[in-house]
Amino acid sequence: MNTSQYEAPGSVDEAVALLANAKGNARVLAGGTDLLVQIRMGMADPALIVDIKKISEMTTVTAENGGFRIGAAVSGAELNENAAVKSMWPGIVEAMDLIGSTQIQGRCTLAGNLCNASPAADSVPAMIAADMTCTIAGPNGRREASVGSIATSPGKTSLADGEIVVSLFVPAQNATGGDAYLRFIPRTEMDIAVVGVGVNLTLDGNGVCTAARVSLGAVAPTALLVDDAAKALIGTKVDDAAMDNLAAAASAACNPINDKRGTIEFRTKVAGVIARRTAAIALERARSN
Amino acid sequence: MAKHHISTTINGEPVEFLCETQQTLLDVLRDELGLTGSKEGCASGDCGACSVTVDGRLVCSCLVLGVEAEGHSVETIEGMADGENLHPLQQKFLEEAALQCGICTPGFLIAAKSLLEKNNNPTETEVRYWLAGNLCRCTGYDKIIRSVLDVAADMRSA
Amino acid sequence: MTNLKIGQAPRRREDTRFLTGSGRYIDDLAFDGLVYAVVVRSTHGHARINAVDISDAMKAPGVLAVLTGVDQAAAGIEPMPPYERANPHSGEAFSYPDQYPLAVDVARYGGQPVALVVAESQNQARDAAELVSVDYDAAPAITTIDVAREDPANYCLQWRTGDDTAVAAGMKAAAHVTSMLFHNHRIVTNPMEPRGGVGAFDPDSRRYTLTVSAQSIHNARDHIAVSLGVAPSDVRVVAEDVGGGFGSKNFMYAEQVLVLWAARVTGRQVKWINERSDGFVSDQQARDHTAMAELALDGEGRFLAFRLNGCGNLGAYLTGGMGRLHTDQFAALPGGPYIIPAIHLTVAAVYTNTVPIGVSRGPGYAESSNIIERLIDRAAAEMQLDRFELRRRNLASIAPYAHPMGLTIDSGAYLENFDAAVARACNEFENRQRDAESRGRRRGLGVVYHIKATFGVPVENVELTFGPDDHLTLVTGTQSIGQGHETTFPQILSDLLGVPFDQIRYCDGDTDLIPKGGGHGSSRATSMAGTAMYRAVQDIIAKGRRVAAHALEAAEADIEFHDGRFQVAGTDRDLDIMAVAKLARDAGEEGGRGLDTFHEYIREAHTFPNGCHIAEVEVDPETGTVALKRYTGADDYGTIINPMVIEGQVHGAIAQGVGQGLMERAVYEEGSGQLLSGSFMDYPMPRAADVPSFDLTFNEIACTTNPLGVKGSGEGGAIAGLPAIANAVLDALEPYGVTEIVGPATPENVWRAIQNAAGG
Repeated sequence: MNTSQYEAPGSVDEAVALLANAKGNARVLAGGTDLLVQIRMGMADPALIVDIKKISEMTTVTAENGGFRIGAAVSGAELNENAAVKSMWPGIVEAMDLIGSTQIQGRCTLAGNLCNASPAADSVPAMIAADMTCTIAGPNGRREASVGSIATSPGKTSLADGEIVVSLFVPAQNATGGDAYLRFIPRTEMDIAVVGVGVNLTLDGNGVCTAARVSLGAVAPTALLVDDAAKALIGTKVDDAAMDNLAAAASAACNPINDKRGTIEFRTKVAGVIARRTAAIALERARSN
Repeated sequence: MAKHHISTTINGEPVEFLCETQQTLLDVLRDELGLTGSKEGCASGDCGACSVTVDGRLVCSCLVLGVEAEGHSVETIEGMADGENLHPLQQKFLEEAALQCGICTPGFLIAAKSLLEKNNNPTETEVRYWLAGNLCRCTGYDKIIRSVLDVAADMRSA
Repeated sequence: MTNLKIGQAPRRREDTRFLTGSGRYIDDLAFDGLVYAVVVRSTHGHARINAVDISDAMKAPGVLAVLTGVDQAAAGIEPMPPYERANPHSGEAFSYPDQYPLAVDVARYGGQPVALVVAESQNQARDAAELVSVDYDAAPAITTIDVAREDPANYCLQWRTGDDTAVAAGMKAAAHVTSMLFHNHRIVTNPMEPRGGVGAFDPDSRRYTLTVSAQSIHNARDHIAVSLGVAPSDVRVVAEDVGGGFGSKNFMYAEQVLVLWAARVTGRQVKWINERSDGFVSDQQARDHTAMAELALDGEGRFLAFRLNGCGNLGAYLTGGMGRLHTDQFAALPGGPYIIPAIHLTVAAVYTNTVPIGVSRGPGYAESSNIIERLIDRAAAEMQLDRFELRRRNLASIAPYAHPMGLTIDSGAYLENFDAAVARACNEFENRQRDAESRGRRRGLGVVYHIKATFGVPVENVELTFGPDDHLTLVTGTQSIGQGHETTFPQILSDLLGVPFDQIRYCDGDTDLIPKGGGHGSSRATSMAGTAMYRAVQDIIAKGRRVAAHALEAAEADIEFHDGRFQVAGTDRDLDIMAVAKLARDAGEEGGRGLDTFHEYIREAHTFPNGCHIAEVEVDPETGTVALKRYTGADDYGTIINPMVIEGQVHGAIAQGVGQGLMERAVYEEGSGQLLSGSFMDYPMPRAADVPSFDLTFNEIACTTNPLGVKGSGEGGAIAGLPAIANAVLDALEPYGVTEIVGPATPENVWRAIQNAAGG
């Protein structure tokens, strides 16, 4: 313990080079809310820690193509204070805001939440519902990937050795679109989601849903994009019948683990309830846009 | 591996210290700098007893590396009072006995100060959620919440 | 420089240091030449230990010593004795396994200390601890009472008490008998300061000094000495500021012996601080009690008879006073404040492969109150009676009340408190219920009348010394670990002696300062030390009158004492108590002690804090989520010394009680005995957003059996919280046909109860 090398490079290229040349296990430090706990528990003892918070590209939020590019080291608190992002994508910001306490918000990041690859990561269903992508840098240059393709199983990602997420991109919201995220937890604050639902939907002038994305977290090894749930909404006025179908589709998509936070049957049923409630908020937002 | 030489600002004063990579900011404050007001209650970011601010941002110092303090400004409980004059939150906690064993109190004070700097007119619910990262087993939170609301009211009428 | 009266609310003296980060908790203290210890704990719930290989650990950098179970015999280390070893009523010895500080050949719970590693730095000790290699043969672990009861060898005690014949007659005569099974689920107390200590050994005097985070240090000293194989006088235990205990720091622990032994071995001061993860598997846990109970009622709902068959899970070992918890506290007031003419109890306790059970706010009474209060709601439902009216009809409205199990409750105003709480809690409840319905939610009320008899160490002493600098110093064997004695005790003395508050110093937390001490536990401190202080003050006044009479050249009978002055009656000739103290000292009165007075008080009666608590919850039936919306209490803690302090005590107890009711539960994996809820992520505790503000009133019915009239306030909420929440949830879910919630009212438990009721 305590033998790690610590580097705080000023550019993505330097960070990538450090990771490529690392002898032994290297870890990226953004908010550190997972990494430092792992180190203390003896579950991680990296030879190299690369702190990315001195890289301006990774610490800023910028407008891009009507949407936003969010640096990988931008904290939850900073995102929550960004009025433009919050106004366009309230569901994403609310999902982010649910990750831990105020103190955790001061440090935690969307990219960290994504790369930790917990099935219960709060921000991921909201990001998938918003069809977000990320920019990844590595020894072979940069590439783009959908947020939904990053986590492959609990704790595992599709990032190759030496690759890091540089930023996340959220596209422009449709003029008559709305998003929302709700999760269900054993208590009111600070816990891992038992079920998390992100809904992003768009209405036409007649109030008919023309597009929808529904994503579920914590009910399967990775967050799911549930096409059947989206289909339940598309082409409807998101009435009670559509909501029933949405709830049924959300429940049907569940493949949860049976653990002490909620057994399979419970999670499955609650997933439907939460999907319906989340969609109701997204609908309200779409109508008021 | 050689220790890192860190230059930082703590409670408004320039401070230099040596630390190893994996030493947390909490370890540095307590063990290297003798600032034992910040407490370790869990070492996992769940209890808030180690709360400090870094550049005005509320964090758990157990989840920050000491090396990350380089060039930043850290505020701890030791810097909250102005000499003999208690901060209004400290004064209100004293007047209302919003503490018992006192171990979690520094964390609550730092967290509450950070809230009131952002929002001097919080609702009770906002105070309760803001402080939900700080665990207390003694008080049931009642007097803490009331004290923070009372200080907010005093600030607004001042 | 003002005198204070009982009932005033001076600010707490200790708070300035706590508020500025200057508290002196164990991990904040500086020691010379400190080295660090880390405990290697059993990773199995139950296992044979074939060998502990320390060779790699001994070679690790900075390591000074590695102690293991097999080293204990040569070092003269004895098993840690339970504080209570026999049933105080029947004399029957408790059956218990020897518990050495380090496991020898068997680990009986996950977390049990197996080795202690001492190194120059904390990190070196941590790293070396990982190099200790233990060869285990894992064995099946028993985690539940039901399984443990299958083997007679697992029993610690079995005892029957009460009037079986009368109960049988009552059951036979009853119009209705309500019976229920209970499991009062296990909790982890989790004071926010982890346990820790620093051991030192002086080779010249052969004395050990333990500086520790603990709450009953005289008791710890006596039993640590047994385990070290030395006399209690060879051990000094010191506690400065303690970051909460709530019972979990009451009894001795293995680590306390180990750091002293390690100090002797290494010749250094040895520090150990638990990490939170250690605390989950080594702090004594609480509750975990099953019961079968039957309540017989006549046609009007009057209680006729109560039969209770309870069994406690003790965990792997008998710790501290736990045997007595079952034979005293649990058996003291079954049926609570209700008049039940015939009561019979069967009491048992068994061992399992789980972390040892200790005490936590309201032990014994939390279990018995949960039983009677939930039985009453069930009986009301079955007999179609109003549950409020059923309670009113049976509450003991007489004082003193001779409880059939033997204690006499000196005072109380149960009906008054009950009606006060109900009036406030029920005000406009229907409106809130309708509003909830309109949002698809259900509201419910849960009412409980809590009562306990304070126990704890039955002896307390104080030493009052008048210093040459016009200060009065109080030394007490009680201990303040957040209760504010540093303020309230001088406040009491200021009132009784007329000495300005600022001239009274307070000392506790050092076994060398005073011969005995019961520390803090069972809400005993103010009634026990308060009585000792009161009687010491009477001695001081009597002595002072003699001295003043001599100095003022008057007859002793003519000397009056009031407001800190001795005065010749009917004259303006008087002397201040500090002046009298100086005269007495200078004259060599009382063998040179002057007015200085030591008083030892042996408990003459228990006190009975009580009150009515009502929880109002809102349930989301679709998800099972329960929100605590309101909490109302009307409590009688006797005379209140400091209302500001007492409010805080009650608030904290409520939060702990509703925590058990809503979310807290220690869960073990069957078979392996692994604690599954071993972190704050897996073991939720109430946070600020989980509880409302509390609506409390205090009815000061003075206790008649101690001179201050105090009863003790630290536990009512922790006793009432669980049944108040459970009764409220069941009230909310009455339309769904739900009649039982097992364990905390977590969303899944509640949701499942709704599904089961619908399915059944």
